[in-house]
Amino acid sequence: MTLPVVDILIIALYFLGMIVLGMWLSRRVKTQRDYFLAGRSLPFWVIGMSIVVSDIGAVDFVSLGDQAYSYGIVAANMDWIGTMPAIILAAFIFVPYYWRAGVYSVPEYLGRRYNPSVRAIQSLVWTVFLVVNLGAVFWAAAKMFEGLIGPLEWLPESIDARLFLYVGITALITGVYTISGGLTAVVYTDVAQLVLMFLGAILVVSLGLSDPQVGGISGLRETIVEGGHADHFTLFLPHDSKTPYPWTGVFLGLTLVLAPAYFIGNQAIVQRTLGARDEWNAKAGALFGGLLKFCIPFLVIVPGLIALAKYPDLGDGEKGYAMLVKELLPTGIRGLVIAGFLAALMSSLDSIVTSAATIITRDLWVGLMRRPGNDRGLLRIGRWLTFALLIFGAATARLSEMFEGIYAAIQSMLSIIQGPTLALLLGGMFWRRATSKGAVASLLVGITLAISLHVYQKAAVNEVEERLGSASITALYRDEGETSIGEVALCRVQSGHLRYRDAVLVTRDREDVAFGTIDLLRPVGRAPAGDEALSLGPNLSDTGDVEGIFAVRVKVDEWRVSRKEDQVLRTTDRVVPFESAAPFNAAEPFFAIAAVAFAASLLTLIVVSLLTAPRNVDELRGLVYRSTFHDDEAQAALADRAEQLEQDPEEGGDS
Amino acid sequence: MTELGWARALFLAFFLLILLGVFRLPADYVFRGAPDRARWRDLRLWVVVLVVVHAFVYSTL
Repeated sequence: MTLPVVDILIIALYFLGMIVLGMWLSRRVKTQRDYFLAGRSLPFWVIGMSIVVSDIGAVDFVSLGDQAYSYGIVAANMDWIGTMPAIILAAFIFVPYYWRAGVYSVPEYLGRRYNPSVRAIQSLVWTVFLVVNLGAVFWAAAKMFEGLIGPLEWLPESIDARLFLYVGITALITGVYTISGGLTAVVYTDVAQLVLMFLGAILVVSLGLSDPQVGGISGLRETIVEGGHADHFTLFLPHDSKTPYPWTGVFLGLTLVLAPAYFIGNQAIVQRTLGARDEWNAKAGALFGGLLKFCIPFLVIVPGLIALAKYPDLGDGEKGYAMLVKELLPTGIRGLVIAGFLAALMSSLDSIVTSAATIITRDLWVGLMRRPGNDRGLLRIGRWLTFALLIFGAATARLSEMFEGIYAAIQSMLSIIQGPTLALLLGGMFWRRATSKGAVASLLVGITLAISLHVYQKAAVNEVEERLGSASITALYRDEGETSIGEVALCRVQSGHLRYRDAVLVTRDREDVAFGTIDLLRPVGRAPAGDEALSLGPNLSDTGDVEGIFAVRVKVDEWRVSRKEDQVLRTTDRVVPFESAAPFNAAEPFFAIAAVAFAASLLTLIVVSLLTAPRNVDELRGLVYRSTFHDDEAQAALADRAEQLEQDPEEGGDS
Repeated sequence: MTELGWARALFLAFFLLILLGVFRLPADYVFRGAPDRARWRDLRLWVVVLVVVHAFVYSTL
């Protein structure tokens, strides 16, 4: 594919526009407060738009599209119930509280509420997450660039060189306006980027739905249901669903833990509201962001479904969005959509970089290292850090390939740190007796538990995947198995009579029997039975005898192990159940792990706090930031008390 | 009612709870920082819009 000159010009115009806007806004930056908090001057509509475009980036277009391709609209839970309740909680309780406290970051608030150790741990953990996330976003961008633009004559032939070039261009443009204009430039370019992103995504959705192969919304639904994906059009999946979205996980993990932790504890999101011109604009900005986020599934999830209808045998749903753009969009429009995608990407990048620079400058440099410096000095440090972070992110982007899925990697990291963070925030806000010792213990217990659960789960799931990956299928027979999680594996089909659904798989060594279903995706080796296997469709229930190596999606409900090879198929009562050691049903149980970590952290906070009542000046000072989020009188009384004790520490004693 | 029917009911009840909670907030708190008390600045009404559109999709899909 050759990208026409018109498209390239549109993309170049977009880059130029961002640079000019950023440079123009840089005139407003004189102090660190201007750089990190936009001089506390932002109106609600800018905050709302910036929150959305910072939250939704290139990774979401690629990965949520993939989730929609694989699991359906249930993935929209991330943007609907995974946003609305949390953003209301943030808008009415946490955001006004942070704004009034005048803090630069969430760790700074936690440091004031508890103690400097909590601030230090939180800062370090969030810095690591943001930096790793930065590499992942760069890598997603490079992959998307490659998919959208493809090889051009004047681009390097080597794919590695091209990817490096894409990462470099993105880092350069983002760096110019972020370093010069700080948060002000970031949020105002976000506004332009949101408009462009929405415009591009609306074009993809409308052209996709009007494609004859899709046939509008009703045609889309019909095609996907006929393709054997009837459960792709519900927001609720059973509690034992092996997808990442059982309704219990969505409610207990996503709605009650991950989403609140994200919207009240994630610096990249909260920082915009801290820059509000007044408390009302801070609250309204968060709510306006919630209203805009309601539209996101129509722009991100629907393309995933369109890709499923058009390319049912894609195998890797992450390629769906790029294929739609390449196939559906005419010249000129394609450039606009690519610019929209770049907007989504760069808005995420600039948010991550600004947040990380703020935390490192304010919480690690000033807070942990105790180097206050002057205002100009801190502004200079913030700018140099932004530069260094972009270079580091671009240089380590390739490491993201280590993960099976970028989205899964980011979700895993979030599920590790967000549960404990939420426990501290809620405990600190709503319970006056939460102490700093309780907070430190809570963080350590929650993070350690979440990491352990991830490691244990991964090992157990790998064991199952290894069995799948090495299985040589010799025969398939009918059974009444139901589908569950989809895993893609390479399997040698030596001989046999394949049925499309409701199959029993018997491995060559005849020791393992898997009850479930199998979908042939594509042959990757010799297939003597001819090309008919390629056209395997949902309505074709019997393929006849085939042989060759196939990529298959095996959906296993149950493993059984038998030593009686001759009786495996006939006497199922003799088989021994295969017991997976995995503690969770889903292969990637982000919600469940976050919920468990949150519960453990909260319990630890309560128990340790009860055992370590506040006894000194620091503890009492911490209580100024306690639970009374709109009880000014109580706050003033505590502030007076803390000040009094600071002047005369002996008075506090251990009483 | 099936398991998923109960789940749907739980989600909708949760939305109702959010609405009730927001309307318990004092008006002074909701308007704090606003230059005036114009009706459109009442953030509780923004929440109504937000909850109603979500209740619609969660009751139909």
